[in-house]
Amino acid sequence: MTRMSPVATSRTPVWAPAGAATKTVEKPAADTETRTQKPWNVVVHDDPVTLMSYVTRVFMDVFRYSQAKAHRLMMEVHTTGRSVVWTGAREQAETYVTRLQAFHLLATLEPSEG
Amino acid sequence: MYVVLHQDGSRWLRQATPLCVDTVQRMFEWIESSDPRVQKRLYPDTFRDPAEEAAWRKLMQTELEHLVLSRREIIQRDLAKLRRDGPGLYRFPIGKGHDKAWLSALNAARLALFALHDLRPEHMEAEPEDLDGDDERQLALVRIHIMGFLQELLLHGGAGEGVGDA
Repeated sequence: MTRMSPVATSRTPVWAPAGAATKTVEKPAADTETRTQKPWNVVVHDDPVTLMSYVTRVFMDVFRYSQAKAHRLMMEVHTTGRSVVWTGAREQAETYVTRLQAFHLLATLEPSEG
Repeated sequence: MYVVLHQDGSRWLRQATPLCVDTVQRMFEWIESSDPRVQKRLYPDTFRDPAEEAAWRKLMQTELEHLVLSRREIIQRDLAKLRRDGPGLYRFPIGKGHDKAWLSALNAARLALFALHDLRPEHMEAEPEDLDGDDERQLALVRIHIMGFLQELLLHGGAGEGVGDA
């Protein structure tokens, strides 16, 4: 999802001698750079229909969590309405949220505050 | 109803009632409904930011819809093997490696029926006959419970199998 765009990062400064070379290099656009570096939360929200045992199994398979951890996170979703089930790089977070949505869990992405 | 593990790795649902069979045969009718209530639940918003959400949806909704199609094909192949299993009852297989497709389709169909009939969280704890005088909603709730029972059978009955990589 992260796109690289060509941007001139080294313009010829006004004090440089005439004819000085302008160097253009590939660098991530500033906003993209910020987005990729900032950690993102994968959040799962409670819904009244999906079985608790199914949610636990999906957590175990998508994240390779132990049954105990998957169960604890599922209970957090059930009792508080939501749980941050994973935090990290945006691209990986997008992969995880896609897999959770493929199993029809209510999953969203949000920037991590921490 | 119960599940039997076969030597080829498939599992067979035995003694399935006509309502159970009718429910699993109609799952994709509900999942693929164009009703906005179903669409909203099966393809929910992922980002708070509208621009991010629009870009995400453009990329991902088609992918998720393709996944639903491939699950439908898997389940239709299994249901093509539907057989009688005693008077008024049926059996059908959940093919080896098909658990993931079945589990997620059952979940999607439960969610879709819940949305289509405007059911509320408290209804999930109620008896179907407690729903005020609406036969369609009562039947929808029964179907939701049947599909939940099938999910539990798949999750706990017979050889365990993950739901990853569906």
